[in-house]
Amino acid sequence: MKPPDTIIHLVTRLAQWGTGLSFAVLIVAVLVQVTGRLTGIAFVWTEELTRYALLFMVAFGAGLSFRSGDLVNVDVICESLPGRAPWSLRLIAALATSGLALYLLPHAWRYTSIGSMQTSPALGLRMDFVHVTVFLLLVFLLVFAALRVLGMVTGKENGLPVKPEEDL
Amino acid sequence: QDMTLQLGHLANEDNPWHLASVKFGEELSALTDGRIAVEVFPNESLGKEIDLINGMQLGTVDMTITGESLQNWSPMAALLAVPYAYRSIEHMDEVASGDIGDQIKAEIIANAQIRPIAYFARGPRNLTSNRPIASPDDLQGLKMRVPNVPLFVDTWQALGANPGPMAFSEVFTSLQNGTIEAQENPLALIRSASFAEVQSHVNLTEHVRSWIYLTIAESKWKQLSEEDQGHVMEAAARAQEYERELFEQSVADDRAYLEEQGMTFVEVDGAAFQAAAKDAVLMNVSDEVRPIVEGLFTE
Amino acid sequence: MGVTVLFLVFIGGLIVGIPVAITLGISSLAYLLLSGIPAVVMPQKMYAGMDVFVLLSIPGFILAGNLMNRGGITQRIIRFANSLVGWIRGGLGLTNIAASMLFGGITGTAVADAASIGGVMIPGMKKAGYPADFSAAVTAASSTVGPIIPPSVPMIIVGALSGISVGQMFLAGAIPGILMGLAMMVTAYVISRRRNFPRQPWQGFKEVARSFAGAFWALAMTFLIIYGLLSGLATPTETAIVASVYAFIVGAFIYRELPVRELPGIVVESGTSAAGILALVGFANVFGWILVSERIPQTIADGVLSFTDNRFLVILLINLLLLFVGMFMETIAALIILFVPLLSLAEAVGIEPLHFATFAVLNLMIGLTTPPVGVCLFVCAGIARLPLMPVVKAILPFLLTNIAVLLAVSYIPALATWLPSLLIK
Ligand code: NA
Ligand code: NA
Repeated sequence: MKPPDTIIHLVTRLAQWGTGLSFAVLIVAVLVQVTGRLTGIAFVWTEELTRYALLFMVAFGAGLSFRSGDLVNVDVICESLPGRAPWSLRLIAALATSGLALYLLPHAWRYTSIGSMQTSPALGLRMDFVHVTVFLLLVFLLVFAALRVLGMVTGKENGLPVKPEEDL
Repeated sequence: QDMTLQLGHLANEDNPWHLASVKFGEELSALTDGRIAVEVFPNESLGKEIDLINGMQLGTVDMTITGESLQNWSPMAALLAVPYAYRSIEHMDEVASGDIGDQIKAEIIANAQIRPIAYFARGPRNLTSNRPIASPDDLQGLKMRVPNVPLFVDTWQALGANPGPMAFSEVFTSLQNGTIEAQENPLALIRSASFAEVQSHVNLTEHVRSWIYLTIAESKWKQLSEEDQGHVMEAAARAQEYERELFEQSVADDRAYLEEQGMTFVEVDGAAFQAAAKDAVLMNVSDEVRPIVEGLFTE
Repeated sequence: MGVTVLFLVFIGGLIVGIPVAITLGISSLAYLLLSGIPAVVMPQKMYAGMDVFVLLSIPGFILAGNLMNRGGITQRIIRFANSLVGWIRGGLGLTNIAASMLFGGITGTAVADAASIGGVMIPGMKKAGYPADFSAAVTAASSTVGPIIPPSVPMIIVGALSGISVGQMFLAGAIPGILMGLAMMVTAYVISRRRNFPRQPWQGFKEVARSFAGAFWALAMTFLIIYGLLSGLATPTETAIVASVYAFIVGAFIYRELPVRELPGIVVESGTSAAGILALVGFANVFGWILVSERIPQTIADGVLSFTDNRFLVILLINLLLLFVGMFMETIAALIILFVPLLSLAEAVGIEPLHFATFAVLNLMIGLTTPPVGVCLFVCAGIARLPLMPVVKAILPFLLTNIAVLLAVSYIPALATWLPSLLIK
């Protein structure tokens, strides 16, 4: 494997583990909540933990969804153009994605940092550890979009969505 | 016009808070000869409470109306809604505008970077149900919804009920289909959420008396000249006075309305409720405010 | 000025083919920079948009659908549907629609339905002598009942935007969904008679019973979901997760077609799909916030009301607008941007929010099958290996049928509100 392939592989694996584990935490928290509801022993923290698990799942999964096309592309018009045009437009889409994510990173960091003044009501968690999910989301978007730009420029990929089974 | 303050809040257009917010804007505009305007966004249209507080800290919103949610930043803000801490609205006024109130405000400014400039009283929270509940003994195992506030959950557990947190938007349906048998809220909310359609009794537990602050972002406050800060405080004071008139009117209206809708009002054994709740409350407030709460209980 | 740029960049981004979520982000950012609003509002509003209670149920419903699909449910549901209606002229077309209705009780998105039923039915119909364009069209059109019959991802998003109870919306969708399915069956039957499509022999009640037994655990999932929501034993999120556990047990241990080792992959894949939707919701929330702070909802409502406050006309206008938007825009983005503005208009003329939510979602589901941008249309044309145009032509009768149902639901509120109202003691 060449270096870029290794990087894509590693980043993909990391994002997949993050998505899967966050989802697992979400499932367990909800099941505890259901059990609590049925047995009359309610836990105040389940709802909060479920919400935060979802945010982490989005943080790790949004980049993957860019890669797999789950971020919802509406590409009929551009894909029906002749010649190199679709390729160029796909490159523009990847550049736009990485540009947006890169521009927003410092702002997302500022948003993360105001969380340090705040604690969550039930878990008592410092909220910068939760606000950071928006920052992470943008980091993963940036990395996957930048890797696509790199891949397209070096001719390693054509910029079309990559289905998850090809990554697993 | 030099400045427009954006004020977002969660109440609807008929609510006294909204009318007082609009009043605040009119007064401020008049006091500053139109230099400062206030644009009011009701119904969470500018964002939900926590989101608006974050926005004020980031400088993207200027004002909001917020209360005990501030305890996520400032532990003392828990005092805005402690079950059975205030005997009457006069007692609450005394605390809110007195020494303790000043301490709370100072801590909120320091920790959350937003500044309380006026306070509005809220109607006391009452328990609605489908049978009369006059004493804690009637609560045994009652499945009820409470907001996701640990102190509220623990207090109702201590009273013998079976409380569970639930999003407000699901409460009506859950009362309908019997997931829960009871819920608690101020009369105004019981009215606006049409709970009369699914509940028959209002038990006058008056278990939480609370107040809520009209606040301005500290960063915005610092941009104002000393003179304009004075105008803001004056307009806020007038809004507070105006709100109190509307509030007293609305409490009477709401009870009459709900009775007309067929709800039965039940007088409860308040002393028994308070006695049963006291230990749970003391155990579940933070160390910082416990001495104050103890003082309020023994007063 | 700012708002003009907002919309121009948004439309430009869509045309160029930038992902919808990113297009929403870029156009919002352009607006913020032009208006001198700090860009930090963007991460803040993204977070606020995603941190919403009812959205928690989206990953669960997606996972439950995927687990059921991998666990061998598609074949069983199709077989059961076929035993019921396959003997009628054009039977496979009817089977396709009936299967979509049954499948709709499991999946929350139309695309999932189009892909899984289309994957089996379109090749099957072609082999049995049905024209490819009709096969693709009937699959695409019927896949849109999925999110009308509960569960429904679009309705969950509406709940997040407006505070309307998700449980009530789910119930409100049941009758319109069934109506839509039946109406499409009539259309398919008429077409089949006219074009003399094949029919299969009646296979007897034994086959009905046998295929029902095979599909029982899958069909029971719909009831589990409805029961969970109605009995009040569980919130939508809890229902979704319990349904996932159920789907896993059925697929892995009852049907024995879902290898346990595939579970992590399916979880990650479902999580990724959900993350895509949630990220879209986050970016769209920024866009929606801009519209609100520019008071666009009031402007639209006032504009329409100054022209007419006739409820009949307003319903018509809303439907026309949504149909038009649905031609070009992805559903969820359209909902997030338009639902709240149009809700204030609807409420101003006395339309019940629950009723409005039902016909607005139904309308935007139809948009999934209208050209030029119709995701279900693309999926089915892809499976049938056809260019878009013939499928568009073949879907026209179904489109008109669905629009007729839409008008019925729009003008007869009871179709949506009667079932939820039964809940009142
Ligand atoms: Na469905
Ligand atoms: Na469309």
